[in-house]
Amino acid sequence: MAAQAEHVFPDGTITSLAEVGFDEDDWGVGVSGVVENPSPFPRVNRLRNWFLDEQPWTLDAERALLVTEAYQKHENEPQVIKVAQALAHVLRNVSLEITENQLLLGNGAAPPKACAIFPEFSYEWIATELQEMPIRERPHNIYDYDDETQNMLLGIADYWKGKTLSDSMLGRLSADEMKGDFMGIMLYSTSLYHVAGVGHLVPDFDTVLKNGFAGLKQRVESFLGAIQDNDPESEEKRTFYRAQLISLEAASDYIRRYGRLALDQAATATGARREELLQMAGNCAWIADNPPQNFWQALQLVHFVWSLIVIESNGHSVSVGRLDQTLLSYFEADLASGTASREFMQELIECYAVLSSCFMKLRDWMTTQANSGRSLGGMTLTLGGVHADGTDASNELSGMFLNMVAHTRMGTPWTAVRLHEDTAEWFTRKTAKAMRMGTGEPKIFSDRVIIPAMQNRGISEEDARNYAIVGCVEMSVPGREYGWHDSSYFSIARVLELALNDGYALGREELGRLGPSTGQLEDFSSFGDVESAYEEQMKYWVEMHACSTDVMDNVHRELKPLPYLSLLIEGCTESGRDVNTGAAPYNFTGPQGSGVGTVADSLAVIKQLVFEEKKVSARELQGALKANWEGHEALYHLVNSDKVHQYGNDDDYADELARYATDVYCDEVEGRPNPRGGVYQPGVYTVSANVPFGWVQAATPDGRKATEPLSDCLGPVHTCVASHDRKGPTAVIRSAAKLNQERMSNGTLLNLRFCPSSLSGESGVDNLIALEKAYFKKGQHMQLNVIGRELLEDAYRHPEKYRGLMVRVAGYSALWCELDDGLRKDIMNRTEMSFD
Amino acid sequence: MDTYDPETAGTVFNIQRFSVHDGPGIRTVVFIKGCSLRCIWCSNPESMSRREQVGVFPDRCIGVDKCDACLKAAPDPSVLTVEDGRVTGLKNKNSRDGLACAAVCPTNALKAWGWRTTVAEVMQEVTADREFYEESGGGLTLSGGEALIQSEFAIELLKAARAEGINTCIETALNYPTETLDAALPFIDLAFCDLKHMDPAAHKRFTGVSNKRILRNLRKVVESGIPVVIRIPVVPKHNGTEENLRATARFLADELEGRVNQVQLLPFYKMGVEKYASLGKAYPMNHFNAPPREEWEADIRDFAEMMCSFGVHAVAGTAHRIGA
Repeated sequence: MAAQAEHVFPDGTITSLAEVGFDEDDWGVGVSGVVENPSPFPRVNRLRNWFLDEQPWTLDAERALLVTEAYQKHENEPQVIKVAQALAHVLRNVSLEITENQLLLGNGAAPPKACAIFPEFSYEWIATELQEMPIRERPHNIYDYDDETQNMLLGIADYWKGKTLSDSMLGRLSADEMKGDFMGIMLYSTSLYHVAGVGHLVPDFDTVLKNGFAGLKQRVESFLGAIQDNDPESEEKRTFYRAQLISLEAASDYIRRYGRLALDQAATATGARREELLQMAGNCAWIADNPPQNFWQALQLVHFVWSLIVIESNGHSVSVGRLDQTLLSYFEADLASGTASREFMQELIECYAVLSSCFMKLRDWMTTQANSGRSLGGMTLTLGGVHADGTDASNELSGMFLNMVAHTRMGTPWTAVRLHEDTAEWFTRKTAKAMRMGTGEPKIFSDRVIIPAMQNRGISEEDARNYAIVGCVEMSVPGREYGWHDSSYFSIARVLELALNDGYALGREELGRLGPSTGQLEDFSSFGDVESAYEEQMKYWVEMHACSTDVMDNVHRELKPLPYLSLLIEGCTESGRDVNTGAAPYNFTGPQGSGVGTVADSLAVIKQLVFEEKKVSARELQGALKANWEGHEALYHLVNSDKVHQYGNDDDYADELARYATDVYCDEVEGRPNPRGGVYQPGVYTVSANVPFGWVQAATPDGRKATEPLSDCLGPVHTCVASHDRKGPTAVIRSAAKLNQERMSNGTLLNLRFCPSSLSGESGVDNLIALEKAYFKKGQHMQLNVIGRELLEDAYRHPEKYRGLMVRVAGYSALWCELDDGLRKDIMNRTEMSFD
Repeated sequence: MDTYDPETAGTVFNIQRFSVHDGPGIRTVVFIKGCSLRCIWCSNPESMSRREQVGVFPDRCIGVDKCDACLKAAPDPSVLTVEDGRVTGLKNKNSRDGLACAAVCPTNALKAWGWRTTVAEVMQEVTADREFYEESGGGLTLSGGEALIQSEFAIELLKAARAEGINTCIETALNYPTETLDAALPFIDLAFCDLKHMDPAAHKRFTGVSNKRILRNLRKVVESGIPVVIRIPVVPKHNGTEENLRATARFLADELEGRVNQVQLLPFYKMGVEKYASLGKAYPMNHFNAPPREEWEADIRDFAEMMCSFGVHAVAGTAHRIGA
């Protein structure tokens, strides 16, 4: 009986909070994004509606043109100076604007909801798509632009030919490194950092808040002054510091430009808005150099510091870390002094959510189909957790950020809550209540599992306790880590395919043997032979993938130093070296294993039906896969039935195979050295890469047909005829907890979808918390979708009625109407965990 | 420590983990097969007989040309009816032949309702979720059919749970000898008791039996001192009338002195039609036209309010915490 659930299903969308019985203690269950005006602040609702309805999505050429001019002008300067001059040229010349109603300033070198272009990373695909499959005419995820913009963007294409990071990588990769990558059979895909920046970090906000930009500048100058002439690296260091100073001065100028713009607008504004603009102008004038004096200025500076990283580096998942800790002293001081009220600071936080939602990123059409959603993505806010001494860190501000999630429901910033055994009960309950709204935010993480996993990788206890989430899944130490998380996605399901097929890709035999010759399934005399082949293929493909990733790492170091970001990561200014060279205390490379459920259930079919029960011959199974199950209907239904062992049912037979499958992957990845003096660390999750990996893979023994998605993250298999998990969420949780997650230090993810009725009422909150607590003894990370299938089906037929509906895709939330058709179907078909 | 016999055997038709509406916390519900009532609104026809049965779902059959597993498995294939290339019927719903077919059917076109099992096997599944019970205050709920119809098996299960330190609930219609109740009560932490109708004649008309023994047993449960939740499936025009619910409230307030912890009014949905068909039975509520859901749910909330005015703690649905 779902008292709240019925509110989801009126014919139109909900128009007021009163209508859904909304109160701060209960935001409803599964109401997701279909509530209009969710904020108690009219200003925030106006900004939200402006974002959703008025402001267009566009492409903007300005950054691309300014960067091109600067590169041309500084052609012969050292690379680090060239990139610093490019950033400075953008910051001094890009057009600025202030959004009506906003209290905070700072866009992404483009108008709100417009994509800035980063030609230095990759450009050929942009030029190609502009001409051959226009971005303004896409079926979804459209960005609009006029002919003039198109002509300007095409006009610089020739200049960038051969100069981009992507071009350089393609020139260096060997045929062996490419055959398994996205330009080959896509057993793995390194495409993210092949075409764009790395990101996935949290800068050191504390130092810049304490000392201001002027303090950072003094620090660089003092290091510059201390260089000894007999230091063999003196020239290189001086150049680097010069680049840092160029970046810093431009950053201060940029903030001052915003201040002057606010002052100009104040001159013509009236009433309260005039006062606000004057205050915003004053804030900018002050924090352009100095440490902030109050909460408003501190939040404004955090946003500028963050947005400049995005403008410089094109990284995604550049994250803001633990703002409930970073900003707490300002919050408390303002309350004590009466400088600002709680309500005003709540309003500011909500304005902040809207402002950061305005950052967009252009992705190529292929990526867009798999990973759609137009927003920049990955900017993550982390709440709760522990202090350096291990005591609970949740505080009033943590709760206010959860209110922000409920009041804005825009999906940005992504919000992560760290839970542990001593998390304050009110905060655990508030988190559960926010989760059951069904926006996909917040996602929750287990300190108990993650902190030791990070320590296993050589991170100190104090640093591990300070971890923050960067993007979908990954953990990072703020200001001290350059983790190259999300370096690639790696399909262990494809590895198994080659292991059963003597190193050939099924259905792509014309490409010749791609992996080592490890025999055919028909030749194997025992299940042990299957395991040996899988292990040998894994070793080879992890090696190839790492070689390919290392090439990217080297190219980023050479062509795209990040002198501004290097101001905000410890170890860089101290050593006079860029963050790309490995100057940070912690350096990792984190690829993600994908297809755990697919491999576990495939291995179970082979072990049980072929070798133990001998119900099916190896030849017949291989024949069925080649035929995409056609003509093998009985076998197809058998492997999709409860008559075989399947992962996700708390069945040791299948769960042990899942553990084996991931252990083999972790064995090969774990500890391999990377070019920045750090190591590789395995993660096991797909985000949404299970969809494109599925497109390119033939049928698999678990009962998956060709082109269907692989299993998602740590979840069970769901094929077009059956979800393989049949025993509900406790069984899924127990299966996932059997994997060795303490090894998977680049992160894991378990997605669960509930229908509203199973989480309704106070007892629903109790039960959700109990599920979390039980999983978090062994599991790292859990996310919920709380949406009825009935609602999703209606949303599928009438996306227009659900323009505000946010769903968690897997690792990230996106607007339902922005998703590709295949992805929408995939989400609908995931088992709904409901037992009324 | 209570001792129990792990080898005691019984027939169950479902074990459902993560049940959140059948007692406090996260629970595993063991559905015991067989019921002594025949409520016309029952949505679980497979729960009525104590024997293992096989349901037939012709739509799920992929065709005997593609799959002949059942024809091969049945010692006597003539029990199967094949029409237009599909299995559409089974002669004896609880024959060994039918069960052998269901055991190999890959699409559950032939589906076994119920399986023989032992206390030890059931407890293996029940204890798997122990950590969830501990975090949520949950445990085992015995349901049915009638939880206590296979009384020896059910009582051994309750004892086993006790021995494992697992909280126990039962969902019962209370239609059995008082001795059965006496034997079970010491091992029950909370009882959900159905109250289908206050009028003996109407009760017999809708469920096949009188309510006299049920009301006597209910008094006994209340007097034992364990927490009691009354469950009433509110079926419009049947027991879902102002008159009946008023009488129920009066009974609970006056005769039982308001000593039940909660009264849950459950909305009725037309469900189980396919399952009736799979067993070759007609759905008794086929001609019933349910009022619109919003209207009916509002009525239920009004009924709950009315019952509260008698001093009984009535609520709509099952998602409210059960107070002590």
